[in-house]
Amino acid sequence: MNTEKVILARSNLQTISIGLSLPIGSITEPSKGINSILLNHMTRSTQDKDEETLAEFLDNKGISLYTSPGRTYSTITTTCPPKNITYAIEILQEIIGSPEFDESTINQLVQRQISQIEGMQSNADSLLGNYTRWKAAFGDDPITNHPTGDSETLQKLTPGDLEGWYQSITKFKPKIAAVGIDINEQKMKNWGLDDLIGQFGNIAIDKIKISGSGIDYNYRDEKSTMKSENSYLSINLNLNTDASMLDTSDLLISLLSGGFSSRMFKEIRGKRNLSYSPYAIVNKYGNVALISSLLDVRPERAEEGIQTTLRLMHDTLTEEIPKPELMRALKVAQRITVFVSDSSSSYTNYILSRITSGQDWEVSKIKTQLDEIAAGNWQQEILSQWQPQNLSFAMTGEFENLHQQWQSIAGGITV
Amino acid sequence: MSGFDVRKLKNGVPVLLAHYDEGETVTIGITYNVGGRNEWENKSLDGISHFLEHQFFKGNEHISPNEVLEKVDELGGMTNAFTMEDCTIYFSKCMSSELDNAISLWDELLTFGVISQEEFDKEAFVVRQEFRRAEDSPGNLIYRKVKKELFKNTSLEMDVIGTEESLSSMTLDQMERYRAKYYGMENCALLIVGNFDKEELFTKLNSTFGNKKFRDEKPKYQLTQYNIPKENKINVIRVEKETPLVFYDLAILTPGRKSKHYHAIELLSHLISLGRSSLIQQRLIRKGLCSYAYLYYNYYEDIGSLEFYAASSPHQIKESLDTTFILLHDVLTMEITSDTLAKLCDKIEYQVLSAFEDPSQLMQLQSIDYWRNGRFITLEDQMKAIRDVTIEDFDEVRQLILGNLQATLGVLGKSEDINFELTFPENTWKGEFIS
Repeated sequence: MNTEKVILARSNLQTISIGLSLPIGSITEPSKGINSILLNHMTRSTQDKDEETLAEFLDNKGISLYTSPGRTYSTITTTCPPKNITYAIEILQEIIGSPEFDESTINQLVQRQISQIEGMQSNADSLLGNYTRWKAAFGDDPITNHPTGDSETLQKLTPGDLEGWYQSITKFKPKIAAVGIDINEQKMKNWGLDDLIGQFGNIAIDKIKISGSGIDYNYRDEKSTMKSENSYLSINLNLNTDASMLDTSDLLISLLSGGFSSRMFKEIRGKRNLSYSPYAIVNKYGNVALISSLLDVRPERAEEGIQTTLRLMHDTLTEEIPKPELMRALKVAQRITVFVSDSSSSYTNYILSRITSGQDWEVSKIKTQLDEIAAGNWQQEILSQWQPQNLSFAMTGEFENLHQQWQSIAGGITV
Repeated sequence: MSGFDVRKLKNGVPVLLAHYDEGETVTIGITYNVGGRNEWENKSLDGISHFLEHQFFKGNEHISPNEVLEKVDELGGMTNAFTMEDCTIYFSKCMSSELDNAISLWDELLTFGVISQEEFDKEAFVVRQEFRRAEDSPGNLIYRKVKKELFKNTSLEMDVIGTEESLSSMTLDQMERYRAKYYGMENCALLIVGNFDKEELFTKLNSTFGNKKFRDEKPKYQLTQYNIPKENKINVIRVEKETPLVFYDLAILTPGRKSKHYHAIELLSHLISLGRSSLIQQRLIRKGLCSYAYLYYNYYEDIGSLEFYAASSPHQIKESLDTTFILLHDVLTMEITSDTLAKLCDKIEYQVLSAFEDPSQLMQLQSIDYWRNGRFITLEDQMKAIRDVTIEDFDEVRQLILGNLQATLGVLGKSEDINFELTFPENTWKGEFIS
């Protein structure tokens, strides 16, 4: 799959959204956090409009503008009322075509970003989700760099650095998605979408290779600065895979925590009262998917949390799943249709995430693929990767060192 | 949206049927006029409404806890619930083809049955764990402390999530009595928002929820009254927590939803906070003073507050707070023209267009607003009421709320970062900060 542009008309919507995705992120940026500062700066002012003028312009036309700097790709998205679509595209052209970088704005953006970093690192839950579990799963690989960067590097950024990175990113060819009422390819062309795309170069980035930690049953714990009542745990499984297999992990996530009848919810919350909010997530990239099962537990029950969660993950891959349970999980995995179809911006972002990772974006196709996965040998595909080097554990908050316990529990659950 | 139809079931339960053409989803909401405010009569029950919200997912003698969970997931959408000071809302968002199943499920779940002691004990642990998570969140913690102080000695002072003590001592018997008192159909309204066949749906609702008992007397909670402040008085709460940022929440008392000033207060809050060109964005965010800052109008039926919530680095906290007060004082004194208000209304209209594109958002808004406003109201009528606010109304409201400040300021951070002296900046207000 190499879809470059998707334009989708939806008659139930009131607005139109357009999104651009560029293959730039914290994994490829030359200075940690520069990508985020650059995108924020570009959407704040241009050569022709200072920040107050741009803000007034956008508000008066009902145009919202968001940037989302990620680890492997970044997006710029706009949403507007249909009558102002040409203004929205014009402003995107201006943002891409004539940015202006100044020291004072950079300083303000940097200060704000440093505060955000401090905020994330002080809270045990977000420290685990944004940093610790990544380092446990991927060691020193650049994928562990958070898009907000680090304070020290951010403070050294200059307008010249931003100008240089801007020149680099506009050489890449973006992927485009547009969703809204009464749109089509020709209309979007007439409104200036092709001119916008023409402002970028034509370089496609090579597939990014992401490496695991290289350590069997890797363990990592970190104390957050803010005292916590709980231990926050993450048990991780790296899948080395390709785009066609990425949806397989969705079915596992759905069985583990996709709904109230999922295994983590029933066993960890319902039966054992171990945790208020246990859940599993998957982060998908070109050749890797990171599956994490996360939970908050009382510190004295952290070991039980590891034992129970790891056993649940393993059993879900090795036991025969009862048909009704599999059908429920399949329906939950397919509910993305419910979530994205009612908003132009959520649908646009969903399509961008799919086409950027080389996956099908059409909801009906995704549903069919999931049906096929559920009917196939999906457990074995994932189980083949249940190897010591792919399993890792991360913990933050209030805790005792559980390195040995983790290794013993994980080592005792073998395929 | 092509239809906004308000009806009553045969037993008297009000129903909103809001039809969205051509959408694929539908959201059903069941809203009860019960929450933290009802717990005020017996403070040892602090948190029981929220606890009971969990308990409704435990089924009854006709449907086991496991069956409930499985049936919820079989809907294939999103089902959840939340509890506030004056309402508890249960909802399911699903494909339109599943609406019939969703109604049947909720009809069954909201049928009273025996709550088992075992399930009660299990869920007591879960809500206590939820409480502890809330304590870990600086934003949640400071909001709850400020609200308690701002509305001290009123029914709004109760903590919706409860306290460690109340959650540990509550009994099943108390819960059953509470449920019997507050969860009758006379205290309930239904909302169906999305794409559906209206008449077929109404028949189904009548044959399910319409058969439930509707008592004559609707339960009440203690209301309070907004008094115009005669002097500036800011109560200060300092919460020590090892955070790198300093969080602050300035809550200014205002009239509530049923006040004639409601729409003018909405305009005032949007002037401060709506969009990139708002005063908050200009002066606090783009100046790099706050990592985030926002203001919203937190209203109830009888009273409300303008909540100004922000986080700053310790070295910028004084400047951020001063800027916040100067900003608010400027709102009091700045020249506002009809043109300013008209442009603001345009911005609100754009926001409404985007925010309520998703039917489930409309359900959430209406399910809360219904109890505070006393009726369902279309977005068009809401916009008209906002556009009808005159300069005189607006001036009266800013004088009323900001002429003298009656507020609580909460500051959360490390001890050395929050124990500074508080004063009003020059050329703003004069008065006391009471710690």
